[in-house]
Amino acid sequence: MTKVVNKHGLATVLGRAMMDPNFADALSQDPAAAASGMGVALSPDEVAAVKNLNTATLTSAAAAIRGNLGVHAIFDQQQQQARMD
Amino acid sequence: MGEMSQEPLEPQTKTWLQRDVLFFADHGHLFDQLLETVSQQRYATFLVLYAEIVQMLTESPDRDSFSRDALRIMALSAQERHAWVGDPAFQIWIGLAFKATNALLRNLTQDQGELIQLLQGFPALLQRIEARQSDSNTQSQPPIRRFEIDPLIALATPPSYEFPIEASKTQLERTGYSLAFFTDVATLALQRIAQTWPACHARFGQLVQLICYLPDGGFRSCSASRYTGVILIAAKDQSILDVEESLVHEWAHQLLYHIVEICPIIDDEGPEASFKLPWSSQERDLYGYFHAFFVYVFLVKYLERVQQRAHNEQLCAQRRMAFILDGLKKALPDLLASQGFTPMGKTLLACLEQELRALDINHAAHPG
Repeated sequence: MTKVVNKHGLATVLGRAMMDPNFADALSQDPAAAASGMGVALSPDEVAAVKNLNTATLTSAAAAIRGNLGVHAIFDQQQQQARMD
Repeated sequence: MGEMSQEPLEPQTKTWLQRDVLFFADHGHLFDQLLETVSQQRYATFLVLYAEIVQMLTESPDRDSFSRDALRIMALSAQERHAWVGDPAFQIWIGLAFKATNALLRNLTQDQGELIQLLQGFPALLQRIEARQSDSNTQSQPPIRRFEIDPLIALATPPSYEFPIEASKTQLERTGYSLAFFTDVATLALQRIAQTWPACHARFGQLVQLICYLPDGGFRSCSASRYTGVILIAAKDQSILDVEESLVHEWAHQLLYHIVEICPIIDDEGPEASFKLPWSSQERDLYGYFHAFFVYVFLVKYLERVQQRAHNEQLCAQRRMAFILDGLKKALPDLLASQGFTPMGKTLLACLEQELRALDINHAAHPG
């Protein structure tokens, strides 16, 4: 496959990892190889960004950003722990 | 980021809780694991945000510069990233951008203006953090500020506290002690915490990154998960021991914010309920009630370590501990009866109950 040096290639690769846990695991273990399979050439900095990534937390955050943030979502939450005693 | 990421990391967290939840400070490796897990989650959230923003804002001229700046952070070592992404202002920025991105992805709005404004502010945020990091290399404790606050932190603190506009600062400077005096007092209090509970002090700066001295605050001390890492202290403490208590109290809140960040303890779908805090009669929902309970168990653990002080101070610590213990015993049945906890919340409560019973037996056997 022809590799494309894309300045937003990392976002594309991450976008797939967010939807595909198997790909996320592969990306975490060997970012360059996993991205190469998509035709994306990652720079050394981009490889460092996702190497050994915790894929469970990535999946969790990916679900949250498209989900209902709920009553405790940040900034909707007026909750505070103000101590008066 | 509060309870934004809802997927609990139960097995690992459960291990921590069962082993000894309150004493992260005394078990450095558990504390490090907690910080590491929180840090990984925060970083993953940033990566997701980056990917969604870059893929969504294809027409925005601000996309490229954001992408470059974000990659600069992402390419750092894990330890360096932790410092950047864990900065309170960075966390607030992530929270705001997360919410704005979520609204666009869910078609709750078509207006990209809020998100683009956040992207435009990102380079300045990085510059401010970089400047703070340079300063913090020369400091042994969290900085203490009154007005010199990052604008994102000032944006997040209401309704806890509204930082004044420029014109009001001079007037407000006349209230309370000077910042220099309060800094001396807080430094002394931190030194005493170091003598009283060295492990807690050693971990203090890892959870508290900024102390705001706000003598006009309508509280004794205050914090919130939407500005994790920042604590607000008013001028209502009567002694150095009180200041020690305020600092440990707020440190313990920060510890619980970190736990909740990776593992929600209250079920959003659970019954709504209101409780009165036994210590101040303030109204709280279950989340707030549990927070207070957690922190006060922690405070008893601090106060029982207050030894070898002047007789009067020793007496104050013992009276305060008895008062707090009394309130804890009143609160426990309410919490045990509540149906609003997640399974992890119940596990955490069971740990606290066990701890409270041990403290009660110990201090009933050795009153004063």
